[in-house]
This record gives sequence, structure tokens and C-alpha cells, in this order.
Amino acid sequence: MTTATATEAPVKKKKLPKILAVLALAVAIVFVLDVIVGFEKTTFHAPTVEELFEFEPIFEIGSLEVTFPTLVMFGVTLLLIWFFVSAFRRPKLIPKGKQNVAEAGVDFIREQIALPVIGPEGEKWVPYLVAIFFWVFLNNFMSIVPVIQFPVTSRMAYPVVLAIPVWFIFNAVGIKSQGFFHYFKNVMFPPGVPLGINFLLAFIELFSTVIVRPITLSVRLFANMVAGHMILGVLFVASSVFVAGDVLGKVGFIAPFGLSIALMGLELFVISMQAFIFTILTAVYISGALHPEH
Amino acid sequence: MEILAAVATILAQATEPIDVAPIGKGLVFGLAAIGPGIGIGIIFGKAIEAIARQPEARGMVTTTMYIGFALVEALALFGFVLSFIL
Repeated sequence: MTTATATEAPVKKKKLPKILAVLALAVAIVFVLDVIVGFEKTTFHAPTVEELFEFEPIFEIGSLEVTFPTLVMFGVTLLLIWFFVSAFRRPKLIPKGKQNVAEAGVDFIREQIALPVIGPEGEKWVPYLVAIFFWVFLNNFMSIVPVIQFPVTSRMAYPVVLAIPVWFIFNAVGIKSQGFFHYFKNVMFPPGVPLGINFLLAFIELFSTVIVRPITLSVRLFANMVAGHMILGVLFVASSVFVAGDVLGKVGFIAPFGLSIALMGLELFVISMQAFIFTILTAVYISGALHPEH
Repeated sequence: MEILAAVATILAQATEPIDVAPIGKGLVFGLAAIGPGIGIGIIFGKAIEAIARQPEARGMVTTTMYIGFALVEALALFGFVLSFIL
């Protein structure tokens, strides 16, 4: 214990003035901005779901109303297409720059998800899994990018449209590789279960495979993003109220504001984990359809 | 449930009508979080045990752990979504 405190003490002494300086700078910026702009005094009002997630259509194409999340989604998709096409258009033996980053990404999905979960057949599914992972990750990453600050999949339509193809694919793969009756037999009657219990289990298994899987796949992504966005929304509204208050509030605003910055770090972790989980569950479902339990 | 109903009738007799819907929403998410909370604790605890016993199996254990974690977490999130739908 004594050695630990002895080694920690000098580090703390160096860091503390820096932290204080950053905090003082933040408070000073608030005071200066108040003098220049003049904040309006408001009372705290927790943002509701409608305020956070409802958008007025920006423009209409025929009867299609295009809202802000849709624009963000198209922007992200085009960015991804541009990135991967330009990275792999003229592949070099010794990768550098964009190709290096793209290869690391593809390699991560291949080594961590496709090959261990699906097996040697996983090689075929690498492109699909890569597309899902980076699409989900980058779309939700927009929730911590300043100015945009909206996780695209917190609107239910986007995860549903991601989950429906997954449902079709794993069922089609199962039917193709095992045959229609064999596939549903394997789903409904897992081997090694006593016959008496199997009558109960058959419908539960069928229900969980055909109905629950796509629902959980989409709701998990959706609800995680909604929860994270709401927490950030409440904290940022709180800090804006503090900033508009009196002197005590202008100094104290660093508490909710600092907490929301820290929570943005947590959000980044949640975003990458949800993208990973969505991809790995897709792989697990495909693998379960390819290789039934013996 | 009977206690809740009794409380609701008492509240209904008060001079000002009180909205009990937020309490119900809170209960929905709170109760839905109990089971998954225990489950996630067990999953991560067991995964740590497994990695401590066999550090070389870390990659496999972590992948499986996240699958289990995702399945359990979905239940809590159903409660979260339900509390907004209600």
C-alpha cells in the first residue's frame, strides 16, 4: 500500500493543476459568451421522447417525406461506399493510408466474427458482416459527433430494415443447406431432449427462432440507442439551464457538462458493442442454420 | 396488485386528481431490470472466472459472453421500450 501511494502521489500533483486550468477555462468561456451573446433564462424541462425523436420533414419527394435522420443515413452510406471503394480500387501489396484502415476493419470482422463463429464457410459471409458492422457503427457514431448528434438507429424503421434481411437470410440458408423439413425438424426437436418435454419445447423453439429473433435483434439496437440519446439529451438540457442561471450556475455547469462528456465516452463503448453484437448475432444465426446441433 | 389498486382508489378520492401513470411506467422498467441485472452479473462473473482459469481461452470466452449478454440484455430493453409504449 505504501509503495502504491508513493508512486501515485507525484502523478496526481502534476495532473491536478491541468484539470483545474481546463475547468477554469470552461467557466471563463461561459462568462465571456454570456457577455457577448446573453443567454436567455430558462427553467429545467426534461426533454420528452417526442422532442428528441420526432422530426419535421425537411423536403418531400412525391409522398416520401425526407427527415433529418434519413439525410444522415444517406450521408453515412455514401461515405462508407466512397471509403471502401476508394480504399480497395487499386489495392497495393503493401497497404498504406485508407487501404490500411479498411484492411484492418475487414480483418477484424473476419478474424473475430466470421471464422470463429461460422467456421470455414464464414469466408463467404465476410462482406455482408463487414457491411452490417460498419453501417451500424458509423450511423450510431453520429450520436456523438457534434452538430449532428443523432443516432440513426434510434428510429425503429432502420433496425427493422436491417433485421428483416437477416431473418430471410438465415432461414434461406437453413432451408438450402438442410432441406425444408429437416431444417424445421432440427429447429423444433433439438436432439437429446426427452420426448415428453419436447412437445412443450417444440413450439417454444419455433416461436423463438421465427418470431423472437428478428424482434430482439432490432429492438436491442433501437432501445440501446434511444436510452443513450435520452441520457445525453437530459444532461445537455440541464447544463444549458445552468449556464443561463446566475454566477453559481455558471460555475456549477461543469458538473452536468463534464458528466455528459464522460457519458459520451460510455456512449462510444455502447455503440461499438451494439454494432459488434448485431454482427455477431447475425453470424450466430447463420451458423446455427448451417450446422444443426447433433 | 391489490395494494396498488387500493392506493389508486385512495388517490382517486383526493381532491386533486393525481396521475399515477408515471409510477406504473417506472415500475415496468424497474421490475424488468431485476432479472437481467442478476443474469448479466452471473454472465460476466462466470466469464471472468473462466478467463482467470484459462487465460488462453480469452477470445472464445469473450465472444460467447457477449452473445449471452446480448440475449439477456434484450429483456431489460423490452421493459424500457414498453415503459414508453404504455
